[in-house]
Amino acid sequence: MDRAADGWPFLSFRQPTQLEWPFKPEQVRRRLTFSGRAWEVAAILHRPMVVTDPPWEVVGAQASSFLLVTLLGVLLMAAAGSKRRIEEDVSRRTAQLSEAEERFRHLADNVDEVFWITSADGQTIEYLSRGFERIWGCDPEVFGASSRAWRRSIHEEDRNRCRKLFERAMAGKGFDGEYRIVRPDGEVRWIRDRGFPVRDESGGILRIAGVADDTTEQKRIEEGLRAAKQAAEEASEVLEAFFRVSLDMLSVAGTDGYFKRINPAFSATLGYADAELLDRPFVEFVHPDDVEMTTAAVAQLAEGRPLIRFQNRYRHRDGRYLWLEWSAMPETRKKLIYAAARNVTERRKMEDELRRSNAELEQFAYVASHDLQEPLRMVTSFAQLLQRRYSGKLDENADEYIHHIVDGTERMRRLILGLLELSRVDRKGRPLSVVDSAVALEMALQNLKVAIEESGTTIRIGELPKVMADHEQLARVFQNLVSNAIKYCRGRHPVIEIEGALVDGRWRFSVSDNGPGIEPVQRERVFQIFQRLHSKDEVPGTGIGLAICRRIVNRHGGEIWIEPSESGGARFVFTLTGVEPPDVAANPSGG
Amino acid sequence: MRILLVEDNPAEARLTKEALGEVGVLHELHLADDGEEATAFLRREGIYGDAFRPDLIFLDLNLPRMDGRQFLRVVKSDPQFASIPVIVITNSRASEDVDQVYRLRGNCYLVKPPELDEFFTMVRKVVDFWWLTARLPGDSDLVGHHAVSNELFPS
Repeated sequence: MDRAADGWPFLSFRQPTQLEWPFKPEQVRRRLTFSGRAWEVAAILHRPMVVTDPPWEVVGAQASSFLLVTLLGVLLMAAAGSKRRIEEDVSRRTAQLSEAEERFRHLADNVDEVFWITSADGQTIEYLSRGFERIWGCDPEVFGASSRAWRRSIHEEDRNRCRKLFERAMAGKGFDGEYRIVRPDGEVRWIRDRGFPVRDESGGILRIAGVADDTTEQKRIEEGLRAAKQAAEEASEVLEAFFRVSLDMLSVAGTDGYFKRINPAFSATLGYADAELLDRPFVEFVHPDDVEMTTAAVAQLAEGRPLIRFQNRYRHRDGRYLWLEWSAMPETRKKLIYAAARNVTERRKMEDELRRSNAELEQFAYVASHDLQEPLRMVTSFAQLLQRRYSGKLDENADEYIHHIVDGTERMRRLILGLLELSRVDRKGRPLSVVDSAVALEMALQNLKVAIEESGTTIRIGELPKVMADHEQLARVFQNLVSNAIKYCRGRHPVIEIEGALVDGRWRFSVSDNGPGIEPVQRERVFQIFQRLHSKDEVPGTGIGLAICRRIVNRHGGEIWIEPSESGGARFVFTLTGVEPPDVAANPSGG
Repeated sequence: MRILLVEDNPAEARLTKEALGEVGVLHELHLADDGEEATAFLRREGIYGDAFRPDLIFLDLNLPRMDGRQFLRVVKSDPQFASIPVIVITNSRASEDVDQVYRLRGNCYLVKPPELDEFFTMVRKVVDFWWLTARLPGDSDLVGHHAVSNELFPS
């Protein structure tokens, strides 16, 4: 663009160029170059204005100021001489026309949208406003006049749709549609494009013009909103579905004492119609004896504290009372309670049953320990008294009979004691605590001192960790396993190895011997009560020791089984779960 | 040595009798089948008009009618008899029984051992301690039981 000496843009009538928008008040003074001569034009604007985003009336005002400038120029020109008047007149009209076009360009180039004009067939781009560069990300001049490049910029999937839009315009109708473009940098943008045919006086289509707008951000926001709304709807649908299909009783209650909503399981469990439950204060359905604690529970919820495993009785429509177990969360702001309940009547019945049967078991244990042992003790004692006072004084047969009585009663006593011990594993077990398994083993070996010495057993102790266990029961397991190993090594020099190691996050202990080993088919049987692999003459025992081991290990959440050992003997392996990791187990107070 | 044995099982009573016999201390033994009879004996009621006052009471816990715990309560709450040592000899190992006996001021709780030899040994130890070692209410200031027993039953 040419510039005058004062730096203001000037108009060249031969070569119309742009003026900068917005016009500034200072622009009232300007020089004009006209036919090789410089003219200084002074003009007074009606309204000085600084406009960045001109509404149409402002543009009009600016236009009138321009007209004023132009008019002044014309007056000056007239003073210069009349011989060029016709020439000037033509020039003036040309200038006016250019100026109108300029105004349009200024407007078009300073808005965010793209103004565009194409030929009637849509093949040639006649005009693209500056916004194009911002939105499409490329220079319109590089883009060229052919609409091919424009068509290529459209997202592949949207090209067809776009073509149809333009066909509408070519057919003489307006269009308003959306499509995506792919910018040279690969970015995809959404465009809203509105186009319309521009007609001549006879109604023929001269060209197609339109405004294209970048709606990417708007689309993104809309999409986000839509997704959020959809997610919320889906979540609500899911909740609603679960509310309806839940087998548990679900309800929304008010701290005012009424149910607000109940699910089908709720009314079905209690046998009422929904309305019956909703219309009356819920406390009316509660067992009279449970009203007080129910009121207290509701008060707790109203204070904002959740309720866990609360139980009370609700009256079924048929008059019976059902035990319900509640879990509830308050929503204090809305004065609501979200409460889920479960009919635990059956469970409570079973728990009562279990308590009763446990009590009976306890009773049995007492019977076994006292009432059963007492007569047995009598038999034993008098048989022994007979042996003591009359041995050798009766005949040989009598001596043998007495021997069998004493022997039988002794076995029976051990059986009763074994059974008693088995029944006590769960009943009398102590809570698990950190136990040094080496100490538990030491205790077991101490109890077996005589047997170990008499059999000449070699004991090899490997690494033994600290674990969570009942100390006495762990010692019992070691004692039974070691004693078992000694017994079954008949005639050999027993070598027993005991160790513990962390395998797959569980403590795994093993007691291996060099005995004859145990047949695979027998490996499960030996843990069953009274199952013995050998006659009592071959190996003494009651057949309870290993059953006790299994029960103790099970109580610790572990398992016990038999593997062959390297020396061909048996290896009893047991695991303990619920054990803490070694570093914690070594330092129980450490966090 | 006068002993009141409260025991409902005649076999048990016989065994205790045999054990006392082997200890070799001169003694007089009365057997009561239950707490009621033992109470009547202590109080010299009815047929027990000329009953002796025992030096020691051997008491089983599980008895018909008035059981051992009730009898213990009766004895220890009666100022006339509270000073008589009561030695509970029972089959029960239950800790609640042990606790209760001592709470009721029983003087000693013993569990009958299963083996005859052990039982005999236990009875011998009881006599050794309660009769020959410990001093009991009513003992003469000058003469102990030990001297008496040696005199009567030289070993």
